[in-house]
Amino acid sequence: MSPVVSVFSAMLHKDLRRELRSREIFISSFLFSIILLTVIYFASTSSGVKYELMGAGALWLCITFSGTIGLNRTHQSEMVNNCYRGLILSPADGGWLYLAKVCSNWLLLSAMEVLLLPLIALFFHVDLLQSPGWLALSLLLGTGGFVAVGTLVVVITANTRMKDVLFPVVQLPLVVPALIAGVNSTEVALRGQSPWNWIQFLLALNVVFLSVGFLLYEFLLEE
Amino acid sequence: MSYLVAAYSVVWVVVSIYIFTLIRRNRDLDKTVETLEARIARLESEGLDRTE
Amino acid sequence: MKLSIKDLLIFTLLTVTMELALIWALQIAPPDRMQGDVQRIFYFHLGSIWPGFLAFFYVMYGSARYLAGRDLHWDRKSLASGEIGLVFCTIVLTTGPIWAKPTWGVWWSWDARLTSTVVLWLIFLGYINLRHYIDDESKRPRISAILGIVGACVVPFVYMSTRLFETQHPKPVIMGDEDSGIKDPNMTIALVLAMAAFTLLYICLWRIAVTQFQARDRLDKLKTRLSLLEDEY
Repeated sequence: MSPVVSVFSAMLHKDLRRELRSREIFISSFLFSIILLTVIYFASTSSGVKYELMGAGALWLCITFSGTIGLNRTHQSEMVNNCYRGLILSPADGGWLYLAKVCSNWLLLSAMEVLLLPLIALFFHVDLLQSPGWLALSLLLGTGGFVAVGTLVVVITANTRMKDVLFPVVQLPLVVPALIAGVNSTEVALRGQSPWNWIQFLLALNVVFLSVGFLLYEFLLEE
Repeated sequence: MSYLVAAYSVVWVVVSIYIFTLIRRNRDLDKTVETLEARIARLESEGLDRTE
Repeated sequence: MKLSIKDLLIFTLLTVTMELALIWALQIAPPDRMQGDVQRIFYFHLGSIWPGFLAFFYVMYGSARYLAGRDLHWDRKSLASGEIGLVFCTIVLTTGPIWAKPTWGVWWSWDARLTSTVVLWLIFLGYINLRHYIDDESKRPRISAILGIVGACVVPFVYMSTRLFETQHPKPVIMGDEDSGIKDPNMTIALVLAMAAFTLLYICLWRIAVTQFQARDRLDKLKTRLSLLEDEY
């Protein structure tokens, strides 16, 4: 097995195993999402907004905030026990480490979304099965765009003084196009129509940011 | 019409604020130059004392 | 600060172009049929967004050059470009609502251009502010450069996504669209002159800022050398 593939799978296994063992990030993000959905309900009903129409938006708000918290904490746990130094010293190219991290973050966030979907269907009276293919694709690609940028930014802000505070501040403007596209694509899919133009946009976004991250991660790992 | 005047003045205000920032930074640089000159002067006088 | 011939030339060009732009925008270009004279804000509003974009793409270029050669000059040039880009973005975001109020009746609307410019402004701010929070000076230029490149890559996507959003959700009918037909050639000339004038303003301000950063670098070097000399004694 080439060193690249072995490092890649080792990284992936490590991250997934750690998360499966403790589940703390997962559980706290999920609980946070439930609270968020409740707040959205109260915010919308008192203002006269039609609550049922907000399904896609609410889902993506939950993904955004849980994703931000999750990315932050996942990276923090890397720093403990000098784990990060071990990563820097690994033989593979930095870009593959980046892709491995993107994959693990993406899988974890997608798992969260799978758990959130029934809640969304429940609260917002949405029929998930209208176009399950488009829905899955929208969530997949939107999450991909979110995680591709987030994984890069989390290492950028890790070099700063106030990492936890700075991460969302720097990350959120950069994630805006992924969010806009994700929300709109999900909304169209939940209506049963085809969000093809948004999907194309998301594909382009994912390709660009995964490539940019792949090329730049090496520079971030320098000591 | 007053909106037109407001917009144009806003442009100049924003650019002026930036120019003031540049001027303030220049003043800080001048202060640094002064302290450096003072230190050099002190070094030179100390040097003279030592050689005497 | 010594002024080179190049500086003087650029400054003269700036003055001339700005004068011409003002004359054309305020006098020669005819007033809009529906909006009247208020439409003239458009020349400076749109004229400012062009250097805003230019500034950001220069940040990306400078950041890439820095990462390639590790020459600190490129870091200073990128930072200067970032700061001035923020200035122009601020101009767009302030003149926008001032134009919107008399034409659309509201100070703000989430239309594609304004929304995208808000995000651009936030990305600029993030780029400039990141440096203040990085304590390690050797890391600062490298980390900022990476953020600069990522940010610049995001910008076109922001504009595309908001535009795509607008095609799906058409705006409510408002009194006259922004580009409600640039009919008169004088209007085009005014717009081009305004863009050129603001681009030259960007270049002028940028050159001043870069010179200042380089002066600060040289002073810092002198400080260190002086400290070493003092320690010897």
